[in-house]
Amino acid sequence: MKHLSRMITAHNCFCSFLYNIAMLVIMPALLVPFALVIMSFDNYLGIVIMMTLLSCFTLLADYMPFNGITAKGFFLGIIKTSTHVDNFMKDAIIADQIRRFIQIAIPPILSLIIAIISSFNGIDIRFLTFISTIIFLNYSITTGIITFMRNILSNNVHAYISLTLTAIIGALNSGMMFLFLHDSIHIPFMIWLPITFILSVIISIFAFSYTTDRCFTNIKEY
Amino acid sequence: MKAEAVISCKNISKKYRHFELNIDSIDFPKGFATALIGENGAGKTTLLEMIAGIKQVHKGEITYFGNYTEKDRENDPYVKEHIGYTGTDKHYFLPHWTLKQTKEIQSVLFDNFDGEKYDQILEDLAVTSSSRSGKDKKVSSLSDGNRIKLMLAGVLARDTKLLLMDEPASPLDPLMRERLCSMLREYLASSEDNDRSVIFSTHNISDMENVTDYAIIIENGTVVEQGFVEDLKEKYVFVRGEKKDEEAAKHILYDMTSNTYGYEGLCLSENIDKLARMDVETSIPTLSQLAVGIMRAYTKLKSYR
Repeated sequence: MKHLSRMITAHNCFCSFLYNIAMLVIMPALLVPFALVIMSFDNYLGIVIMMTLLSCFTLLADYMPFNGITAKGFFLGIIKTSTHVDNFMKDAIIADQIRRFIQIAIPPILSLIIAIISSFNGIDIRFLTFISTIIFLNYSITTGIITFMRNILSNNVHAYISLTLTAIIGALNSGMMFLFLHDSIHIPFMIWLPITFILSVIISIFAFSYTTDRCFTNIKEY
Repeated sequence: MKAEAVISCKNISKKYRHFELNIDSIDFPKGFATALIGENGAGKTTLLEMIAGIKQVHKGEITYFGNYTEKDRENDPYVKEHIGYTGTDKHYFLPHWTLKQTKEIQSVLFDNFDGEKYDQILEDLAVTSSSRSGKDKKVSSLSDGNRIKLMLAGVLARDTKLLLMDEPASPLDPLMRERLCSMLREYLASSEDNDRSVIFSTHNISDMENVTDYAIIIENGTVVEQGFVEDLKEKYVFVRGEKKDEEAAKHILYDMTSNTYGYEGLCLSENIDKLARMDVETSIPTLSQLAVGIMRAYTKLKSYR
């Protein structure tokens, strides 16, 4: 319990209360109705468009709390002078990854719940698997991209690259929809769920070790 | 005067593209307040950041509290826990933090942080009131002076043996500078066995004079003078003379400035006899006169060369 509290303190050290509200409340509140309108025509398309927008906002928003954290010369202020700098940063990064997963999972799950309550057509096991898969896929991609984007200190460069990469994320999401929907593809759709899950785990571990290593290296080499 | 060293720097060297810091030897005396004085870009902040462990790559060695190495500083919590550092970094506290959060975060970062003492100091320094709204104030809404007070409260709320302070006086008003001096005096006096020390850099030499025991003057990355202020005041004499003697005095004085009516400058006490035939007025230099005179002798500023 004490460790959880330290983790939350470390997380909130970088992510302000407003940032958390924007990411965990306001963004789903705006994206879910948007997705539901498109889902009333096509469930898969609604989710794909929403997830692409969600990933774009996630990439852009990460600049606010963690801009340049792994870049040389990033100021960590008071944190640098503490004995607990290593554990503090590790807690902050783990908590951020958990928050990002929740942030990416909330809108599609909410959309799914509303779609079920509203008796939308086509909510079957394939669609449920698709939603789970797309959550893991978008979490993996955004986490991977963010890990490298945290080397960028300039807001303009960060925004430009984020928007460019959003196009790639959109293409990957559409590709996943294609793999789920086209009967001509003889790969069982179920296989994508464990693959994206494993991908999420691998990228999470990589992102954690890269960020912690780099932000401490930065202190040591600066 | 001789004193045990709280921090010893030996053969320190760090190279940047346009600047090089080269320190042969500094022993910061234990139990005293040491001022690092020098021009902008002289290397004061770099040296303080090296001691604090913020900049870790350099040549040479730094010894802490008599027997801890830099490796110990990273591995043995004792060293960092007993050093309080305040910097000029605008992001020392991130701007979105509330005052309440600064307390929570410092409680996590430092084992010896006393939250109640922190609140008390902040109230004493008029940064917060006892109201709840005061504690929800964001760091970004504070003035530069109040941000310094916040850092100061943070380090004073810990049980430290050494304070490293980079330009603590610069953004403060005259009243608060006086308060800062008395707080540092109280800090030094608060230990029974005289084991608390302060090292600070400053451009506000006259305001900080009454708290400065030991002075180190750094110019162009090297230490050009250091010693207890009382010893330095014996080593140098402040001289004022008439215009007619200016040319002759120029070769004897350590440093000199002149105007229409005469000249003034520092003279080494050992050379004062050489001015005997001239009409001069001598006095004990203030720390400000000492520092400015010595800095002027080594400056790269063209108007002084």
